[in-house]
Order: sequence, then structure tokens, then C-alpha cells
Amino acid sequence: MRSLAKILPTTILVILALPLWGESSITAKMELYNSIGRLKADNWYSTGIGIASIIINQKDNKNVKSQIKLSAVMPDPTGTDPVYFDISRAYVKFRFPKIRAVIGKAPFSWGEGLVFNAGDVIFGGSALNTNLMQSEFLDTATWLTTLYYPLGDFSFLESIAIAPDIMSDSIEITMGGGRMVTKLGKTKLESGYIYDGPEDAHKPYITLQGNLYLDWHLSATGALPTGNALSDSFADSLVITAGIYSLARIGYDGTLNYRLEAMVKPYEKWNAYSAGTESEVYGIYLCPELSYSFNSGMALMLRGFVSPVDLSAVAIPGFSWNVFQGFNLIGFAAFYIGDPDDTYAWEPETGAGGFSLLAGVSVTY
Amino acid sequence: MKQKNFILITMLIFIAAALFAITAEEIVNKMELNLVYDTAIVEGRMVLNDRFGARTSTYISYTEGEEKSLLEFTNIEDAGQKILRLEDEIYLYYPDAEETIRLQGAALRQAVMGSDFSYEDMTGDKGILDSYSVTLDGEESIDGNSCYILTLTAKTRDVPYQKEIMWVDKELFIYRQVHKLAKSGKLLKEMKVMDLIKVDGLNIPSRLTMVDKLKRNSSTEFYMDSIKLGIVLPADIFSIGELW
Repeated sequence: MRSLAKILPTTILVILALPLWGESSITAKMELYNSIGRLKADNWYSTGIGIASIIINQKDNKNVKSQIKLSAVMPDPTGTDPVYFDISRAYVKFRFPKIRAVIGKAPFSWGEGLVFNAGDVIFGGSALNTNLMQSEFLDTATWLTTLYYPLGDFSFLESIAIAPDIMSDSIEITMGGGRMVTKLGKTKLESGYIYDGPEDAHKPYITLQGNLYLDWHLSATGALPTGNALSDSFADSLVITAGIYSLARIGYDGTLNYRLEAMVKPYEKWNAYSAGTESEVYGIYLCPELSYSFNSGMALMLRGFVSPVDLSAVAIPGFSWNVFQGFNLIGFAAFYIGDPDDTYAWEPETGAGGFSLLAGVSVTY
Repeated sequence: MKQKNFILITMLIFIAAALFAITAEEIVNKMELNLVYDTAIVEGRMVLNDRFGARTSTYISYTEGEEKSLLEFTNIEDAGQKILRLEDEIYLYYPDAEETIRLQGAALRQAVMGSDFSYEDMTGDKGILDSYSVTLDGEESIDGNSCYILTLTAKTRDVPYQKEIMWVDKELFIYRQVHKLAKSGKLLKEMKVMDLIKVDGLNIPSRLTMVDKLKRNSSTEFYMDSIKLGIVLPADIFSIGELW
């Protein structure tokens, strides 16, 4: 109830003020699912999951774009309340002839990669925890201020400052940095840097994206702690991600998409062993995806994570179907394949595993 | 003598007709020229009909010649999503994630919003004659309009339809009707121009329907609700800076 108490007054004010806003559009979105699953023998669960959002967008202004997004997540992911309320987005974007800025709680995306993206130096640490049982993976936003300087049709500089989640008397836990995006011939080059205040580390990264029969991307990053020996920490934090993507038209009505992404941590473990109760990080993980799209609005997909070192995997078949205007049927299943002490286990010692099924709808109006 | 002169004149007329007869390639080139504008701003809709009802996507697009276009979806479900075409690249912008995806190569063959058109079609790089060989197979009247009948046969496998039959208006050089066929000759889809509008002396299809002949009650309708030609567009509208 604490989260509700925080947000309720703001929500009420926003709703009461709605009739006064002539230059805005209001959209409602809901994703509602039922889920059942088996963690291990005789250990089944069922739950309902829902995310509801009201989005208010400013419109008809070419130089200012604003958005407020109020969300309710059921059940509360923190487990303290039946419902978790949140202001998911509250930002203003504005531009002058040679500069553009964003301030507020806004989404942003650096680097390349659907799941594995070493260029995402701010949110990228949780790639292995990405929930693949959803239609969109990236929905991260944080309080930030960015400045964007165009250098040409394909190039720009961007600087960013990210305030800490809670007010602190230490400015050092602020994050800040910048990136440059340009093209070298037909290849996109992106390089950037973030000072990670909470970790007291400098994080440079580089990303390349191009096409050689297949679309490909390659990124690398590592953390350089301030004042400490360079070699150990940089080696521990070095991450390289890569991906290839292509598609083929099948008949007159279908498209087959295939994608493979890899995350390599060269200085992590490359031999599988019994980890006991500790989770171990291996040197390589893969994220393959195969999907078939019909022009009628239906798509079938098979995606997952593979841990080549301990030969375990989670396979996630799914479908989405845009049946009516703004209405989609969605369904996913997850099958964990591996021994109890593997990264992905049919009968895990701890954490997620086994089998689960999720089905529901998403609607926008 | 008079008979010889008559035969000679008749032969000369036939020879002249053969020399000056329009070719299939010339018809296609004239037709494609009619579809390219210096600058244009178009507001339109795409309505997908099937047995479950209708789904509508609305958009506004800005184009400059064949190489540059910016399309922004305005319907609620896709509002703010943009497609920027620059030469042989496509940039897809998703505002919810503040993410821009760059497409090249095979990814350009992906269908746009479930339509019959691919991103590659939007590049303007490939004209009809790049993908098809064309023959002129006579004339026929479509809805009271006299048309050339063109048969298009695919040169490669990288096209969704191996064969197309196109009826091109003899006066206006726009297509009135197109049959899209499989290699076996089976009719897969039928496209027809339902309405034209005249803008700045150009005749532009303002309403098209595409019927899927293999599915019951399945069709797509394209509407141009508003079109402005020759507009001066902002200098940096076709840049990734516009994806915000």
C-alpha cells in the first residue's frame, strides 16, 4: 500500500486535469496473462499477471514532445502489495535548430542487440535475466538528462547525466557520459563512455553494425575502476556481444526471420562443474530465435537461451496474433533442459526452471 | 499503278506503326515516372480486412524523389513509430523503447506492417524492370478505360510473386488493375485502383484494393486521404535526427 500512497495523489490530479488538455492524446494499454508452471516434482504454481498503463502524449507540437505514463503491475513484483503503481514515464523532449534535449524519466537505448548488447552500459547487466516470454524485451526508463548534437544526416553526439534513484548526499553516485554515432562506409560505428558512480567505474564501449550477406553487430565493453589496478577488474568485466540476423520470404504471404546473438565473457569459466548452491557465470551464452510471420498478423516463434559450456538451455515457443484492431492474443511456453546444477535446469536447485505456460491478451485503445 | 501505290502506302503505314509502337519497357518507365514526385506529403490509411473484421493503420509520409522518405504511423497502436528511408537503408524508430533499428540487405524484404509491400519496395532502388521481364500482350478496357496488358515474369526468386499481369491506362500511364500470380499461374492476389485524384496535373491513385484470392474475406485497402505535391520540406527531415 505504500507504493499506492505515493502515487495516488499524483494520479488523481492527472486524471482530473485531463479534460483541460486539448493538445494531447490518451491511450490505454493492458497486458493480461494467466500462467501455470512446474518448478520441480510436485511443485506447481499458477498466477495471474497484468500490466495496465495510461499514456498521455502531447501532440501537434513539432518542437516539444512530452509523455506521462502511469502503470499498474499485478501482482507487485516486490511482493509487498497486491498491486504496484508506478510512473513509468514522465519526460519532455524539446529541440532547437542545432540541439535537442530530453529531461525526465525516459527510455533510451545505446548499442546494438535485441537481448545481448554490450553497448548498453547502463542497463545491460541483466541480459541473462531477460524475460523472453513477452513481445517486447526492452522497457527500461530512468531519470536522465540528455543533449543531442547532430553532426550530419547519419551522425550525432549525445551526452547524458543520470540521477540516482534516491536522493543522496553524495554526487558521486550520479552516472554520466556520452556517445558518438557515425558511419564508416556502410558500417555504423558507435562508441561511448559512462562513468558509473555507484560502481565507481569507467565504462567505455564500442559497437559496430553492418551487413555482409547477413545483418551483423558486434559490441564490446569493460569496466575500468578508478584508482585500482587496471588488469584484473577490466578482465573480469570484459563483455563481447555479437549477433547476426536475416530473413527470407516464404511464398507470397510469409516471412521467416532468424537471429542468433552471443555474449562472450572471455575471462569467465569455460568448464562446467557442479556449482552447489552458487550460480556460476560461464564464458559464453547464446540467444537464438526463429520466427515465422504471416501477413495476416500472426507470428510463430521459437527463442531461448543456450549455455554451451554446461549444455543446458531454455526453449521458448510462442505465438502472437493481431486478431482485432488493437487486440492481440499471445502465448508462450518455457521448457528448461539441463541437470539440477546447470544454468538452466529441469529440476533446479534454486531459481526458475522446469516448465511454464503463459497465455493472455494485450489490448490498446 | 494506283494499286501498287496503295500497297506501298499501306506497307509504309504498317512499318511506321511498328517503328513507333510503344514497347512494354517504355510503358513501365512512363508508369514509374508518374509515381515519382519532387516532394510530397501524404496522409493515408491502410485497412486490413479478414474474417475477424477490419484493422486500420494511419500514417503521414514525406517523400523527396525516389531516394528519401519518412513515414510516421499515427494510429493509436503504432503512434510515433517511424520508417526513414535513405538511399539503400531503412531506419525503424520505436518511441516506446527510444530505439532505432537499421535495416540493410535481406531485412529490407520484410513486409511493412503486414502489407504486400516490403521495405525494399520503399527504397526505390529496384524498379519493376530490375526484377521482372515484361511483354506487351494486347489491350483491354477496365472500367471503361482503355489499357495496355503487360505480363511481368520474375527474373529472380527474390520477389513475392513470380508472375504479374498489369493493366496500364493508355492515356494516363497508371496501372488500373494488377493480377499477382504464382509460378504455376494460379491467381494469388488481385489489386485494383478504385479512385484517382488529380493533383498539380498528375493523376494519382487515391484508393486501391488488394484482394487475397486464396483466403475468404481477406483484402487490404489503401487510401490517400490527402496529398500535397511540391511542398518545401525542412532541410533535415530525412535524417536520423528526425527520429525522436
